Amino acid sequence: MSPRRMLAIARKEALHVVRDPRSLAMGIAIPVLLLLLFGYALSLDVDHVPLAVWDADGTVASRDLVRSFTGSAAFREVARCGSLDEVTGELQSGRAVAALVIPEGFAADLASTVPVDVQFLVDGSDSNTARLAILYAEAITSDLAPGGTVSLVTAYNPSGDSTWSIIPGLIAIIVNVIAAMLTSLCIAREWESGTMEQLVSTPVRRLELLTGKLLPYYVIGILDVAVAAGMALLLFGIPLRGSGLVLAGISAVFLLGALSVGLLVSTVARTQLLASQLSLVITFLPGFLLSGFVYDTAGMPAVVAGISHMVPARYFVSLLRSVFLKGRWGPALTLDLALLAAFTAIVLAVALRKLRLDLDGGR
Amino acid sequence: MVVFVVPILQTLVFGYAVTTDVNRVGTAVVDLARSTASRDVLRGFVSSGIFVPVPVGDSFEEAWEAMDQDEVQAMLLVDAEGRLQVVTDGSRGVSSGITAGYALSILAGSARGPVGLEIRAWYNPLLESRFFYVPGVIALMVMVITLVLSSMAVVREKEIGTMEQILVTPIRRWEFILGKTLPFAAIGIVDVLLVSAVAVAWFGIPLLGSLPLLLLGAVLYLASTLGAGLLISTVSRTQQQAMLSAFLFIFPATLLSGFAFPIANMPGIIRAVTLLNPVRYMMTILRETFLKGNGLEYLWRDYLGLLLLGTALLAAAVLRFRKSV
Repeated sequence: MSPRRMLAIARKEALHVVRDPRSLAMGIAIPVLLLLLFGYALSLDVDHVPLAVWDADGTVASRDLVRSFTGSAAFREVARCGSLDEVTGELQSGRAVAALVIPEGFAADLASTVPVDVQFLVDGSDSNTARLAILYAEAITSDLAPGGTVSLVTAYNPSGDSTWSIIPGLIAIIVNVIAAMLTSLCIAREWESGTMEQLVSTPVRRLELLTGKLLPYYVIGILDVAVAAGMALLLFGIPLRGSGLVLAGISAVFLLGALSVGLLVSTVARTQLLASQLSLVITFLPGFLLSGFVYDTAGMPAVVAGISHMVPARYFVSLLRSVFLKGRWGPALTLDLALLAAFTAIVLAVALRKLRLDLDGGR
Repeated sequence: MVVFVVPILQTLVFGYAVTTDVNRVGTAVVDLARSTASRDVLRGFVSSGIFVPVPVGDSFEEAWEAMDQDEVQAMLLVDAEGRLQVVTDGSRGVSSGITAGYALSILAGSARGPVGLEIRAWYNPLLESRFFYVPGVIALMVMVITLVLSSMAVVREKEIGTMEQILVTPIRRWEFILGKTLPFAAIGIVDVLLVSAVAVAWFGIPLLGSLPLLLLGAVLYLASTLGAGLLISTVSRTQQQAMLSAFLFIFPATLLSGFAFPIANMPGIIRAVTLLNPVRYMMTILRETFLKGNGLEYLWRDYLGLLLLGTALLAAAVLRFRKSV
């Protein structure tokens, strides 16, 4: 491998990027804009759950109970009902997500120390919101008062604000897609515009071509991660509990993996059309759904969790969350990093094998 | 074949992945009190089957160490005075809150206040999160497939030069756009049917509402995703631009659809922007048709939204078409 030839390819590819403002914008401005937009827009927290109330008792005690629900930040009253039909209508239409039904004789039963139950109906179709609504309702009615013998602690994220776990994941899935899309066209374009013939006639080797093509995009990717990490720290106030060096190291490995996926697609696809479709399809939904960004990989069945190991964003999500929020390195993270490196090596090796520098090769 | 087999395979994989239910949570259990009471409480957690003890040692430090290194996702720590701390891993997003919810449900059984709660979850009595997410996956997959196909449809003709041949034919522009739409729409409808069949037959998601009405929704939805794709294709000069634009549509449309992140939690301006997102309407239509059996009386706004967006986007694609050549 000759560094000179590799750098010549890198220079040629960099010129492509610089002279096409759109791809430069895609590489740098778009990830920043997406992170900015989604960082503010997305939240998994549930509060002010719309509550329908049917107070059939209408006494001081029942009104107190209603107030303990609607006075909390957890619920907000959206409807006052007088019958089960009305309650059903509120839940069916989705105007209310939960309903509190206090039966007649509630105050009398409470005074006579008979065990008394009120009904808490919840729209289960959104199971997350439903579970959290039940959690809030139980916290309000049970004896688990704050300062008592039981406390719930959210580790690493004392405010419980979901932004802290969303932002590192968001960085991973945005960079994952952008990186693959950046490189997915770079070999296919040479085939389609016919310049591959000129490349073939030069003494350039496969490895030189591949690394030369990667280099400019690698620089863009590093820039992306650096800007995104800066935004996470300064704009969204996420702590960086681990070391900045570790952050740089895992980003360097991840970027190589994500860019290689695009490169492999580009070598296999031959046309820009197929390359772009493939790279979008194999990075976007898998990165979103299988990376642990929203859906915890620990909750997936073994086969699907196995498939998730072929999604580089999966490793980056867990590594980023650890380095930002936990700050401790351990065997689990070493394993993640080793698997990511192995994935990258395999993808690069396959791309190298598939890349043929003769004109009818690969047909 | 690819456009039919891939969605089915993806539904199978994603259908298993999209769950926020927690089961078998690896849990560090440390009991410094060693009293009958503390043992009873901890046994309640373990016998639930949700919290699975992982041996980590006998001190709080060792337990925290295990959580730092991702070996456990929750901790049950009882100090020498018998106070219980339920610790969940806040770096794991929504599963942290869900785990805390399970813990509180287990505890609420033993710490009943003067007023008990009789809890009923309607439409999904076991609160299986898959019921909520799998219908949504249909909307996402159909959007990605149709948008990726249609956003290349016109620009490819321009780039390989076959557009000139089409321009010399007597075809009108709306005929051209409609002709481009129909094959993709057919693929999209078949995909919706196939993926819905997988959702019902394989994942056991109930389809309570009307299938014909759902298909009407799918047709309107496809009109808007294909309209967006063809609009992208007519305004783009190269396939690369078209792909970039398609991505710039797909990414926000997915994250701002209410699929994973509730729209009710978003800031006011963003909530207003979601009104222009066809995925948002289809997400509601799919979920409420499947799980609640709702028809037009509750969903007419969503159908209307799709109708307006679909018409506007297809019309825009037709109008932009000649000008751009």
